[in-house]
Amino acid sequence: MFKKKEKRQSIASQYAKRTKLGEIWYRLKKNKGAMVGLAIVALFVLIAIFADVMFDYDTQIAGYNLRNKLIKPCLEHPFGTDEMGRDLFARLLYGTRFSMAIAFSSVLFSVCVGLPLGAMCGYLGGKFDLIAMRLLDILRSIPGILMGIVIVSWLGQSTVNLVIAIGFSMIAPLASTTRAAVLTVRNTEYVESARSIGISEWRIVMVHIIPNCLSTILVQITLRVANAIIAASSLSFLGLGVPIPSPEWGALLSAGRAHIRNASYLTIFPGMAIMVLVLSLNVLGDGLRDAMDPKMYK
Amino acid sequence: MSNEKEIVLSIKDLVVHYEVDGDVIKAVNGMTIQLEKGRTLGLVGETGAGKTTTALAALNLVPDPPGIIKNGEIQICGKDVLHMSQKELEMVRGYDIAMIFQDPMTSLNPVLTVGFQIAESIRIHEPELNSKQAYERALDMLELVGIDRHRGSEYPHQFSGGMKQRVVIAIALACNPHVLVADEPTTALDVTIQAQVLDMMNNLKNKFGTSTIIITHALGIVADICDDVAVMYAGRIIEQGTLDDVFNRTRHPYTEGLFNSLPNIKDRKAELKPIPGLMPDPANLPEGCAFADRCSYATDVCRTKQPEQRMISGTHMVACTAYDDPNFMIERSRKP
Amino acid sequence: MSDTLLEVKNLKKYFKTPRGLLHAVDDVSFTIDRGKTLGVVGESGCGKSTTGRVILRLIEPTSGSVKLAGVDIGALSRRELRAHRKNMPMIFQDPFSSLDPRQTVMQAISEPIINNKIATGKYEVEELTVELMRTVGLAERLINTYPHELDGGRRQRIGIARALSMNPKFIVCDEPVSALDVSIQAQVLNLLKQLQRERDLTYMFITHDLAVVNHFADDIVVMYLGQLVEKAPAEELFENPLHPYTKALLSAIPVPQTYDRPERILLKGEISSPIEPKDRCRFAKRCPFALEECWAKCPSLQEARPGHFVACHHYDKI
Repeated sequence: MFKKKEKRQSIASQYAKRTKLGEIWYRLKKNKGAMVGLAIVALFVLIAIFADVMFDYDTQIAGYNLRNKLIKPCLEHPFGTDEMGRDLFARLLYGTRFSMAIAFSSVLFSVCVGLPLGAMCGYLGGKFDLIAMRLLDILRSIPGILMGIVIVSWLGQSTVNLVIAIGFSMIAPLASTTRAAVLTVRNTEYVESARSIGISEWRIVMVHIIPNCLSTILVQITLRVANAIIAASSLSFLGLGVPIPSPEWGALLSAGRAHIRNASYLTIFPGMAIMVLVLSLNVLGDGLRDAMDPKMYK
Repeated sequence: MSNEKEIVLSIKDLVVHYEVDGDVIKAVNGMTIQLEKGRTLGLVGETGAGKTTTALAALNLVPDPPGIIKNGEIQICGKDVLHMSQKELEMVRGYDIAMIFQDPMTSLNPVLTVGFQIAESIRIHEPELNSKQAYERALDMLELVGIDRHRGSEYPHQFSGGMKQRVVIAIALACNPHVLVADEPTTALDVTIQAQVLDMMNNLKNKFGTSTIIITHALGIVADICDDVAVMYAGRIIEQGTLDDVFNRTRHPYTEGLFNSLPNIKDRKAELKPIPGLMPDPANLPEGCAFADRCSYATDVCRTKQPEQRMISGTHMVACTAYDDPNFMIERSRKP
Repeated sequence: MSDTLLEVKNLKKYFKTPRGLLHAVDDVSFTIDRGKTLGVVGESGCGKSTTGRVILRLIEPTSGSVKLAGVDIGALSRRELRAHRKNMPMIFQDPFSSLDPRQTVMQAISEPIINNKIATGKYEVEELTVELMRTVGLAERLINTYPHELDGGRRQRIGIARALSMNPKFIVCDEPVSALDVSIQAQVLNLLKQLQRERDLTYMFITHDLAVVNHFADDIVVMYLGQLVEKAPAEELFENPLHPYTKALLSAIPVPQTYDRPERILLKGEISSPIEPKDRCRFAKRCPFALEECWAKCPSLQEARPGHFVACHHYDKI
C-alpha cells in the first residue's frame, strides 16, 4: 500500500512547473522593484534582530556623553550626535527594533480584529453589519491620537500598551476596507456557484472571498504599517510612547525637532529611515499582490 | 443594380496589430472590403475574428497604443482617413461616417437629456443651426426612430435598453452620415425588442439609403437586413458575396460550419455539427490557412499555403485552397 | 403515470423594492420527468433565472413547494440543504464570472468532490478530476491553468464538470451557452446532450434563445413578468403556439436563411417590471389582441389541448 502510493505521482504535479509558493516566488523575483523592497525590508529585519549584538544598549544607546553633543555628521559619527552626545547612527539602527516591532505588532493586532470583523459585516450583512459598522463609525469619529492617549493612560505606559493603542485605532479603517472588498466579491457568480455545490459559509469566506479581496487588503496593510510608525512617534512625542531612552524612530524624530534649525540632521535621518522602510514595504506589498494574482500570469 | 457602383467606403489591405507585453496580436491581417452606396453589408465572424478592430480602423479609432495600423488604405467617400489631421478626422466622424456601439447603456451621457444629446451632435456638424432649431431636429429624429417627441426632455435612465439603442441610432443618423457602422447593435437586446429595432433599421434603410456595415455574429440578423455578407476568420475575409451567394451558394468550409452550428428551427431533431476546436491564437497564427486545423476538408497544402482569394462569380469571393480542384464542393452546396 | 423527478407547486418569490413588492416569480407550477429537459423561456426580467435559483433555494422562496425526487426541498434545514446540494447543482450563464479567478482547473473541479466526499484521498480525488476533465472534453494538460487563460467554451466545460462531479440526476442550466460563440455553443450543447443520454440526466434549461431551446428541450414553459403564460411539449409549442406572446416570440427568432422567412409579429413597447401588479393580464399592455376582459382579470393557466396549457382569456379566438 505504502509502496504503491510512493510510486504514483500526482497528475497535477506532472504538469506543474512549480508549486504554488514557488510560482509566487518566481513571479516576485521578476519584479525588480519588489525585490529591492524585499532586500531593504530584510535588511531592516536583520538589523532589528541583531541590534543588541551590534551595540551595547547601556553604553552606546542609552548612555550619554554631553561633551560630544550635537556633532555634525562625520566619519566617527556618520549621522552626527544628539543633544545628549549619543551617536545617532547607533540609536537609529537600534531603534529599528522598537519601530518595527511596534509597527508590525500593532498592524497584526488590527488585522486580527479588523479583518474578520469587516469580512463578517460584508458577508453576513443585515443587522450585524448595521450595528458593527455604526460602532466602528463611533470609534472612527474619535481622533486616533486621542484614543491612543486614553488607552495608554488607562492601561499604563508600556510598549505593549502602545501597540494596543495604535492597533485599536486602526481597526475601523481596516474593517471598512475589508467590508467593501468583501461586498463586491460576495455578489459574484463564483460565490453563488460555491454555495450551489454545498460549500459551507465559513469555507466560502476563507477560500473564495478573502483571497479575492487580498489585493485591496494587502495594499491597505502596507499603508497601515507606515501609519503605525508615525502614530507611535506622535505618542512618543507626547511622552506616552516607549520609555524615554529607547531610541524608537518616532521618539528620535520628535527629539530632533527642538534642534531642527541648528542640527537638522537629527530629524532628517530618522525621517529618511521611516520613509525608506515604508516605501520598501509598499513596493513589496504591490509586488506580492501582483505575484499572488493569477490574472497577472501569462 | 446599375453597373456603375459608387463606393462609399473602401478598405484595402488593412493590417492591424496589437502589441502587448512583447506579443504581437495579429487582429486584422490584410483585409480588403468595399461598401457600395445604399447597400448594407454584414460583417460576420466570431469573437476575435477582427470585426470590431476593422470598424474602429475605418474611423481611425484603433486605440494606439497598443494598436498599430501596420498597413492599408481606408477611404471614406474618397477621403483618406488614415492620413488626416485630428481636425479633419473630427469632421469625417459623424458627418461622413458614424458608429453605433454594442452597449447602448454606456454610449449615452447619463446627466444630459436625450434630446440635448442628439441636438448636440447635430450642431457640431451644422453650426449654422441655433440651439432651438437643432433641438427641433433632434425631436424629429426621435420620432423617426419610433420614440415620442415629448420624451426628448427625459434622461437616459428613464429609457429601457431597446429605447436607448434607438436613441443611439438617432444620434448616429442625426447628421445623415454617408456610412453607418453598427457594431452588434442588437446583441444586448431581447428578442422581441431586437425584432423592433431591426424592423426600424430596415425602414430607415429604405428611407435614407444610408450605406451600412453591420457587424454581428448572428447569421439570423444578417439574413434579416443585409444585402451583402463578408465572413471573417482570424483577421481575414474568407468569403464574401451577396446574401444569396453566401447563404444559398455557400463555398467556404468555415461558413458551412457556422450554419451547421446553429440549431435548425424547422427540424428540431437535427443534430448540431459544431466546428471542432478553437480559433487559433491571434498572437500565434499558423503559416497556412488559419482554419485548416478545424477544417474537415483540409489537405497538407492548406496547412502550408495561405489561400488566395478567388472570384467564383461576379459578386462571390472565396478564399479556400481546396477549390484548386475544379471538382471540389463542400457538403452544404452539393446538389443531391 | 409518468416518472416525475421535479415537482414545483405554486412557487412565489416577491422582492421588496423601494417602489413596492416585486413579483419576480408569481405562482409558478410545473413538473419535469426523469431524463427529460424542461426549457424555461422568456426575456430578461421575466423571472426565469430567479425561478431556477428559488428552486435550488439559492434564494429563499416566499411561498410554494419544490419536490425533487420526493424530497421536499423547502422543508430541509440549512444543514440538510447543504448536504442535499450535491443532488441539484447548477451550470451558470457567464463562464467568465462563475469561476473563482484564483482557482486552477484542478481546484475548481475537485472542490465539489472533496466537499461532498465523492472521493477521498489525494490520488482518488485527482483521478476523478482527470476523468471528469476527459468526460467534458478538457485536455489533461490544462489541469493547472487558471480560468482567465482559457476561452469561454473551455471555462463552461469546467462549470459542467463541477456540476457533474457530484453525480447528480438533476441540473439547472442557467443560459449555459448564451455567452459563447456560435461554433462553441454547438459544441457545448452537444456535450450536454451526450451527457444526458449517458447519465440519464434531467435538465431545467433556462434560456432566452428559442432556437436553442427548440433543439434542446422536451417540454417548454414560457414566462412573462413572473408568470407562466404557456406550457407545452416543445414540438407542439413551436407548431401551434397559442399565447400571443409566444407567437410574437417565435416570429422574432432571426432565422439564418433567405427563404421561407416568417411573418413578424411586432410587439408594442417593452417589458416592464411586475411591481405591485394589478389583477389583469400582464401582457395586455403589449398585446395586439387585448380586449376589455384582459384588463379586468388576470388569466390563469388552462388546458387548451391535451398537455398544452395557456394563460390567455381568448387564445381560441386569435
